[in-house]
Amino acid sequence: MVFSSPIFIFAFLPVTLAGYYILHRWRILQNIWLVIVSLMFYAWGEPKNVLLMIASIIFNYIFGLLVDKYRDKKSAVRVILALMVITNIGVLFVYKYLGFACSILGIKPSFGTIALPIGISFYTFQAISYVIDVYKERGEAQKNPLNVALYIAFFPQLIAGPIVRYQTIAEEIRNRRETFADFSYGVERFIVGLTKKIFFANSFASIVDFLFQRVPSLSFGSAWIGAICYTLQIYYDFSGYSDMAIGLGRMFGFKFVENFDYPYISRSVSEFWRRWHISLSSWFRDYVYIPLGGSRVKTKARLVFNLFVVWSLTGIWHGANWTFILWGIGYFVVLTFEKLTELPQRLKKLPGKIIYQIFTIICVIFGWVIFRADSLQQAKLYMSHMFAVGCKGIDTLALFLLKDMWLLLILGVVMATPIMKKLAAHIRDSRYNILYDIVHVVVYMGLFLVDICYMVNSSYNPFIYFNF
Amino acid sequence: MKKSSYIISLLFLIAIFGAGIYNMRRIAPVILNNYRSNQDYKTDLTNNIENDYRQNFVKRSKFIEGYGIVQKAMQRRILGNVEFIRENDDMMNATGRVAFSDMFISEMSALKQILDEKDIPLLYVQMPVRESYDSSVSMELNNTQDNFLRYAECIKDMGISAVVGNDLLEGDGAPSFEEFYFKTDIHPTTKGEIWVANKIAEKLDEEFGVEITGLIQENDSRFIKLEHEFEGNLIKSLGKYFVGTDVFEEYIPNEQPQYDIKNFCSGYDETGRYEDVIMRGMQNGIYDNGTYLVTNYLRYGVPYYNINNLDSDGPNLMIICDSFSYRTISYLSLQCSNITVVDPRFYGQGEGNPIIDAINQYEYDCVIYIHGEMGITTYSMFEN
Repeated sequence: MVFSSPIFIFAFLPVTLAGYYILHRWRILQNIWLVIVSLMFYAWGEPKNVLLMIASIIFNYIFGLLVDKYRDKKSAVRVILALMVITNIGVLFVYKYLGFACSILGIKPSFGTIALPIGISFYTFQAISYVIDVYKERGEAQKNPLNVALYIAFFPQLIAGPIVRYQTIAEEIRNRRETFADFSYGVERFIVGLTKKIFFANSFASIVDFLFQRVPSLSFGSAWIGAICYTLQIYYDFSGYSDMAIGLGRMFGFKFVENFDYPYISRSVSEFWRRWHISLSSWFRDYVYIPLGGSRVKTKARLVFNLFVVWSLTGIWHGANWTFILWGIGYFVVLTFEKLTELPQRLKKLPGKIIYQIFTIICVIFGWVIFRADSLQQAKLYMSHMFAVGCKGIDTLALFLLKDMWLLLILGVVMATPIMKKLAAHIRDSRYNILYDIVHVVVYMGLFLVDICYMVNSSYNPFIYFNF
Repeated sequence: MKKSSYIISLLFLIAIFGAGIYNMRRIAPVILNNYRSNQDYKTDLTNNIENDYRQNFVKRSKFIEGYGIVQKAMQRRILGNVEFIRENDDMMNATGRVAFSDMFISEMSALKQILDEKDIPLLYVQMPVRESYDSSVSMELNNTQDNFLRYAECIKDMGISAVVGNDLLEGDGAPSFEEFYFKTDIHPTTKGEIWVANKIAEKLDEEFGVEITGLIQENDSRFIKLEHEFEGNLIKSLGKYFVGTDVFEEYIPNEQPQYDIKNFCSGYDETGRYEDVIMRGMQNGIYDNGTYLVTNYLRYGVPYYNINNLDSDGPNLMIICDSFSYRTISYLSLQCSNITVVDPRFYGQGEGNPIIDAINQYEYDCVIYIHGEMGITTYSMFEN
């Protein structure tokens, strides 16, 4: 079940909200209710793999208790932590990477193809976060397995994040306060996310799918339109999902971390990664990069090595394909360049800053082409068209697409920047704030109505990050 | 928190609970019924439930119209999952490239040979290409134009008599391109199909001396003419505000001949008047814009059947076609003693080779292949 489906919004969500608030006097019962509906939410699409997730909850609950019990015995706790990492990563490896590893080694596995359980990368990382945060005393070990289940399986962030750290919501699992103000904020975030997904991401997705199906015949113009559309699609798709997750969390009294902060206005690639999928990049920073020594290392070689490890892992986390590995390594190269030269910080004057900002967005766009391609060959061919090698310049298709999508593209670009947010805040704080109230209600309910029109009409509703 | 935020969340709650309860009462019986009656339903249960929920959503058609309005406001012309295109003149078109079919060429050659041996003439009628009108992009997406030209050349090389593409729209009183096709549907208009029927009759007479007299004309006083607002299959997911609607004309003869229709697959015979057996009864039902009137003629889904006009001593024809000419055949049937309709898209339901079996059984005055759309060429005429 996806958030942007009528059955979620008009059946699952009202039932879940009603059950939750009917039980408002009993926190334990509310948590049990959330676990039950979360498991049902997952089982709706993945009835078999729900057992795998329950197993993950159980063994990480046990690891949490063991780490807590043996925290004073260093060697014992190291063994437990190693076992925990091996178990979690092992399961992830089997389901996500074993087939890929076999293909690299030229082995034809007897077990055939293993279907990837939806959201396994997200909930595995959350599970690891739980045990490590217990070990680091950032949150206490849960004696009640239902609370661990709620942390790992809570439906808003279960499928595609944000990757919520245990320390963030450890306290909220037991003590949280639901207010109508929070609920209202949650509703607004949900509508914003739904619109991003339905109105923008799905509209761009159909064009992107269409163009990536005909890479050999693309012109220079069509290739760039496809790349820009995918750049916008992935932003609206994933940030829309995160907005919906954050909004839903708020409706139940949970405050998740922000996952996006207008990444396409970044002035450097390093800044882009501070604004894009913040929960993943900070997870890698805190659980991989810093434990490796981070940037406070004695030699530059070690720094480069640390960056290489983190970005290779970031790439492969997204999927078992050479394209993702190349995408991660590409970022390793650019980020290493930025770290070693400190060029973005040194560019004080305007022309240089703007040129580097353009360079950043071009790097990101090319990165997304590699990310979207089915194979390295396809990525290479697509990028060659973006350099106008071996293809037409601007063909009738490119012109038609531009004519067809100009308004959507302009809206897509504008809404990916904080312009509208600033404008809304400006009007809200001005003497026209009475007008703001009316417009506010009309705009949000209008967007919700448009979203319903789109949802009810079409079943075309791909979520990019479900694959990860 | 602003007061307006509270209003938004209240309205949101009213919407999801209100529509939720209303939908549940309305959709739950549909889902339960499908679950109980359809074994396949259970194999992909959750997807089927989601589909049922969406398809039966309260006031769905209104929401679809809302979607169309938004698309129009956004000036979009590529719609759905790049399934539809709105042409410059607001004609809708479908995308979906169909490759040139060598099988079709070899089968037409084989058909000509079989018919030559029996001294039965063969006529090839090619409908005008839908994207021929100011629509370079749909040409690029579909490539039908080039493929249809190639087919026409091959047919000419085989020495088969033909009325090809835009030539069909020539002559006094010929419909314009916009009059020939519905703007909201892939099929020709009634005016277009009447024109094709007359063109076929003209060609049969000219080339083979096969005479069909007294064919229907536009606004023919021998017929009762009904007009209905019509939304075709190219705007089903966009609603009427996106492009507008068409007018579907139906002609019911004042004097209706008696027919005997024999379905070769089921062996089922039907007898009755034009209105009872050639038309499918939609003209007597309750119309709305969603009623798909194109399927109100002949036997959609049946691969081959005989239409025997008991009151006519006109020619005996075999027509190989798809749904692009169902009304054409209906009008021809009024002046022909027999028409065997073969729609290769629906083979697989019977045994033997329908075309060869029928050619051996009936003494046709002519066999006609009406090439409506590219898709039909991917279905074999001979392999059942």
